[in-house]
Amino acid sequence: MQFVSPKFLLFLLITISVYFVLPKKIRYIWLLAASWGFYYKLSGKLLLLLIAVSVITYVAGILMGRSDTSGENRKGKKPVLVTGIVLLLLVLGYFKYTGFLLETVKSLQDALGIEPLGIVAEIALPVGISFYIFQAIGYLVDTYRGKILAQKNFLRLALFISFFPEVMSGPIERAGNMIPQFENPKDFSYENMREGLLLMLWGYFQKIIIADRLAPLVDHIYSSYSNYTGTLLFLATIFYTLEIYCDFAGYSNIAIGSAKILGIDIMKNFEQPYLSRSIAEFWRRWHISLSSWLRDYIYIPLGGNRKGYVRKLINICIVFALSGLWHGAAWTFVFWGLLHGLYQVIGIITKPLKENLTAKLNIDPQGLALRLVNIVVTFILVNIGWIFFRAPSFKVARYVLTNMWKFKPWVLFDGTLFNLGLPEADIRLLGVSIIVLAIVDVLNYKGIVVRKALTNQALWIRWIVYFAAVLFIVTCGVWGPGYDAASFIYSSF
Amino acid sequence: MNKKLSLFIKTAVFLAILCVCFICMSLLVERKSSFNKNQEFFEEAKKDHIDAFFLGSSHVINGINPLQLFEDYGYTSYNLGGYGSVLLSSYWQMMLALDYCTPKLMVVDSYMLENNIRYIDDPEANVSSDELHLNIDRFPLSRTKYHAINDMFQDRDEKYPYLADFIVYHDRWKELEADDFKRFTKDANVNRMMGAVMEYGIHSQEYTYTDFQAGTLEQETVGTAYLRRIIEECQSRNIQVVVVTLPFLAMYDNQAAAHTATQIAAEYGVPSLNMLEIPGIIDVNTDMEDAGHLNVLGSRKVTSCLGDFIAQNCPLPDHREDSGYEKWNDYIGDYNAELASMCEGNDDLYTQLMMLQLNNSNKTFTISVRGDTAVYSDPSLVRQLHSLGATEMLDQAVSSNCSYMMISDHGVITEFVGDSENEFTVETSDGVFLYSPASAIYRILYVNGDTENNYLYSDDHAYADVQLLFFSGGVCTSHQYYTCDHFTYDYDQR
Repeated sequence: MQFVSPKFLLFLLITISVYFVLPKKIRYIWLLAASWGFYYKLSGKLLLLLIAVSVITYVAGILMGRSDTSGENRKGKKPVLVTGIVLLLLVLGYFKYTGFLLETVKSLQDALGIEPLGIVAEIALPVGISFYIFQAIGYLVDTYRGKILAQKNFLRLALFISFFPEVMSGPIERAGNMIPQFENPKDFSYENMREGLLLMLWGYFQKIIIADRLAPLVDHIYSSYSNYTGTLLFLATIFYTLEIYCDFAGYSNIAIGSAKILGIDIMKNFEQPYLSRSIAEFWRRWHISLSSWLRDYIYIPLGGNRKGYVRKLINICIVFALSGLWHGAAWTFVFWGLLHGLYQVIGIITKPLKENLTAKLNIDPQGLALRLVNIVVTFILVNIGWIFFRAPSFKVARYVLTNMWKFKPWVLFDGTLFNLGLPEADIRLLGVSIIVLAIVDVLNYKGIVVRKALTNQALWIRWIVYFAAVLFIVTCGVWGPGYDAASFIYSSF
Repeated sequence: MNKKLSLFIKTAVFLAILCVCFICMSLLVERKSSFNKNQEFFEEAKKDHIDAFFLGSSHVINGINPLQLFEDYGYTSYNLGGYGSVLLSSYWQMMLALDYCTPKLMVVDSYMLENNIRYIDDPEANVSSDELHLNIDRFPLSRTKYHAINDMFQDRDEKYPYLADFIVYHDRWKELEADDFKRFTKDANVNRMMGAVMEYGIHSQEYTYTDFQAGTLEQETVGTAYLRRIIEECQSRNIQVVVVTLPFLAMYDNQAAAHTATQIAAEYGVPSLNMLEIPGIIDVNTDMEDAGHLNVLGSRKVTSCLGDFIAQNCPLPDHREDSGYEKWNDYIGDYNAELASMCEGNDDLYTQLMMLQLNNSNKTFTISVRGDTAVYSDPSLVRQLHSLGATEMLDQAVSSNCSYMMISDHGVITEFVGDSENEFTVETSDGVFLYSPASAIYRILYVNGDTENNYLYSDDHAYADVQLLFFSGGVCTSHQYYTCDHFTYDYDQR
């Protein structure tokens, strides 16, 4: 049951209807049942793994809680925390990185001329494992740090780890934000419902109008990359840059919107990342829940910027390499992470130089020109990074990176775009939709939230927009038979 | 409380309007083939104007013409055949249709009776489940439709597109045409043949029908089970049933299936008509579009045979003079006008000759074949000329590879064969024709003494193998040239 399916909408309708009918005290139990049901439909028996992770987290939390009550200091809790985290990481490592490890060992043996291992890892990756394990680790660390009390109610903790809008691809929430909301559920609110539905609608627009139309274009070019050079390759990288944004931000909006209808606030995951003026800002706007998780639970424990300039730069590189590895069990992902770390290191090193230069050239740091240049340069750097994220190997990435700069603008006008596996009408629709996306993002960047602006309009205007939006998305969206619901890129991480 | 009530009402109104918009959108984007095929069924069923249903596959769609039955017998019927239909889908087609009217007669074709696949979405079924959309999309969602889909499909995901076709059709937004918007107006494009579709092609193979002396099917199949269910359902509703097998190039299994159908019909005491066993109903080489499907010529013969059978075994009321059936007469008029318009100007020679066979009694035309031509090696063409009335004189021309001329004056045939300086005069209702086959290439045809115009020779078309000329009021109304190149004919018309 993927988000893009009538089944999910039916599931959501039933879940919400029952949720608000039930007494507040037991609503979390219903949400847990719904969440486990949702996960079972996604992953079948791997639901047991999710429950096992919940049990490990619960037991570790309870043990740390006992240390608190018995007056022990942090030292007493540390072994429990370490054990809990190690167990969770072992689970993640087994399911996600065994194959990667074996492949790496084989490559090394190959390079050294040793007979390679005959073991082949065929381990199915449970949906959302990277997300819910990080949530569980976050909970343990927060309990250890005393930011939250250990949750004594197993079902409530299990709900935090399994909550259906987030379990597949985040946002990676914090127990401090979520558990109190499960303990004190809100009444049904018309405003929450409207806000949630509008967010979901926007998410579906991003996903099935834009991302799922870009996907075949990108796949077409990457699957026969050697047939392409120049602007078309460059365009493919831009398409992927937009695809991954619309795919993941679309998913996040559907997740946040679904929870909002239930009266549960989930943290933002995206804030117009492609309008960032630096890579550091990009990471404050892209996958915010992961970036802040990495900051709080890895970067700061590593010392952050408290242990000197060089250590800070090293810490950044470590965090981003781990971020790359978290995204995918392949060296291309690690490289992608390191590249972003490197971007930031260079950004920090050259910052005084840039400031001096702007001052000497008398350029207004807040002027439109410099802002535009910064945004474009950041976008191109991010775009280059995504090549390693999308390419199946370094060979492909290198080909794309070296061949995409030949300037052949006529491919935009000579009909070439219509021969990339997507019908002409879809390409035109895509063009218009990307313009709409850009306008909405720019407005949001300037602090104008279109949803809110819309709710201030007269009823008939609102309704016309709502009807048009719903009909447009269900009619022109890419869904139905033949639709590959695989398709949320981040659900495979 | 007031605020809550107001919100509730607002939400209800919003959802109601959204539903209406959604239904309109789904009607707009739906593939119109099912609407086109079945809309007249709903119109006529509403008026209780349908006395017979025809069930079956594309054999039925192409083979039985309800308009001809009305024109010749006054029977009102609807062709509910579906492309790729098996008895299983025919049964449910019948059940869906019975929700809207109860006919007096059910005619069911036994083709695919041997099919023993339980579900249409079975990969072994060799049936395109997509084609089922044609049959059932137009039928609104109902309990019967729900049961039908449940019974025909095993995979739950396969069922949804049939219960809510928007799932498959929403992507048609990019191919919308004016006809799609006409779905909401009264000038929508609908099948005016009461569900039938005539084929106007003719195969180019040399077929021989073989009687395999097959017995009956060795075991009960899904097909036989559903044929029984059709008969039992009809009998429980006092609807007469006729089990037929329309003619086609049946193989061993098909012939056994036809025998089994006759046997099952006998078990239930219902009449049956196995046209495979009746010699001479059709000519498999001129009356078929391909090995399985009848063309318009075959359809005319088969419909006529079926009409006679119904008249003898289970006669239906004659509605030709009844008020309220004007639409049927209008549609017959349109159909006949269409046929008349297709009698001339076909760029495919085979189709042209077929259309002449269908309608040659009110025309004067000539067919001239030059000597030294490859045409005579084309058995299909020679057979068609014979069907038009050519005699053994054509065979002489074939054997000596000389010029051949046929003059058809409202069905009266005059022929000439050979190349000579002789002049022949023929008086027709459209003037006096003078014909002289001076040589294989150069022949003369003067009309009404006008020796300035030799219709059979022009430098541009000196080597045309076949020339077809139509006359009306002493004037040549159409001159068609066919030049043979290994049995494909280049076409020109003046």
